[in-house]
Amino acid sequence: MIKLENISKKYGEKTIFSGLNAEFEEHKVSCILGASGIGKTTLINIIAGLDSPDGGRVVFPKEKIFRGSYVFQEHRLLPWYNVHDNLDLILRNAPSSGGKKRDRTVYSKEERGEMIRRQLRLVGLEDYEFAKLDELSGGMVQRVSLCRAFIYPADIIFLDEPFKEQDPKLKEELYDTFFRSYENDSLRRTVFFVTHDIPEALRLADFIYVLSGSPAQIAGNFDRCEFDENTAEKIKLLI
Amino acid sequence: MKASIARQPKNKEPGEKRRSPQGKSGIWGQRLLTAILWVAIWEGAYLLIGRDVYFPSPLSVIQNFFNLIIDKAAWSTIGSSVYRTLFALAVSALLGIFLGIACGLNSTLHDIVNPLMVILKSTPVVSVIIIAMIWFRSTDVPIFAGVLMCLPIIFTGTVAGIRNTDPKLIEMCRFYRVKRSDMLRSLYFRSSVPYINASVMSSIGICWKAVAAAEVLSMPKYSVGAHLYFAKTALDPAMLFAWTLIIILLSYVFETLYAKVSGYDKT
Repeated sequence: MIKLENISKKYGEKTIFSGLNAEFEEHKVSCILGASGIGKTTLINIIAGLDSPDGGRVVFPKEKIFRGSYVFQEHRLLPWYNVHDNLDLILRNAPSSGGKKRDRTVYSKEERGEMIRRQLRLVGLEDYEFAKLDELSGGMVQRVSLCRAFIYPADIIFLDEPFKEQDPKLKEELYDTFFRSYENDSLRRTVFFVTHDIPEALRLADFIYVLSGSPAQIAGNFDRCEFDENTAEKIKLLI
Repeated sequence: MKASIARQPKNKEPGEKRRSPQGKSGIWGQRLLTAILWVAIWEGAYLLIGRDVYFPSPLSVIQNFFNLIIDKAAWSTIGSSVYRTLFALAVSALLGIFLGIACGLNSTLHDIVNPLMVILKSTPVVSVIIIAMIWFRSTDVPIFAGVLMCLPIIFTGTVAGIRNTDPKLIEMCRFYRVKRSDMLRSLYFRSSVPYINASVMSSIGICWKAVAAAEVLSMPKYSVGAHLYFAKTALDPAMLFAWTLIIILLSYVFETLYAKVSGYDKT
């Protein structure tokens, strides 16, 4: 379990969280759902270590040091590099086993090349391995960004509304990329993703955590086993 | 199928150069007309002044220019000045980029180095030359002057490039624990390249001016600047203009070559 204990966070005078508690299961897709500006991104940034809480703590299981990968709202790929070089950049700096903090046993060049080709083949981008980013469509670039998160030997993958503002066709492509990557992920990693889109949450998540109120609290959570035709309505009422 | 969709040309590529609707021959025609217009103005001014010793005719300058071009001795003079300018540019680029990266990443170091660069930027080139004449041999004075004039420009450009690195990309690299050396190479340096290119482009012309001025004062044996001085003492403005034309053309060639090699868009 990954636990949030008594998390509080303020931006200026505005209190985002005050004594927020939550528990997330490992090796599942957990969705944090809520209206825009409620603090969803702040919450996963706190879990990811990109932001620190003013109070409280995030508790990870003790047996290992957790390493994350992140799909940001924007692709955040280096525009002067091609697809291969963008993926290679993070792989050559990654530990080969999700081991200790200072374990810098990097993958060999051949291993990295094979990993990149395998991941791109999985999502149908194998023909674009050496393509520059400006040769790709917006959806393809975001797919590369998803590939980067899955190829990195992380324990947790964070997705901050990566499908936002994409047209329905592109969203389908991206969902497909996500499912292919997740289903083929031998590590079955823990995924946190943030969205304000209820159908998207119902489609991708194993667990949905609805964030609402001011300061924001977990107003309800839903397990995939309990999803039914009324779940969307129940979520709407909570938001 | 996917490949054909993705590789369709977009409305406007980021690096796409502006193309004139007239086409290449039209552009050259326009340039030729512009040149003819300016030569006509020059000829008009010459006729108005009416004294070769003050203002030479375009014809005599062009004649002197071609005489220099076919003269072997002139080429060794030009070669020496080219060497000095290139050397000064290379030194200032290496030093400017190195210091610029270091100071862009470390504000304390920037606070220490920047006052020196501000002073250098405001120091008259002639002061630098006179000081250099005390310290160095005449052949090295132009190199020193060129370095001191270009260094602050390249330094400032590099610092700006480093400081304008997209913070979101920095956050991404930090999150994925990209090593500092790799971040320096793959992120900071690469995002500074347009700034470095712009500053090097500005430095080329300035370096030629500084080197020529230093050559005029320090008079190395083989130098364009010395010939400028000789032309002045011989009251031969046509020759002076011809040597100046050579400097202008060399500066233009350097800029064009650099733009071609670096992919910098001069427009």
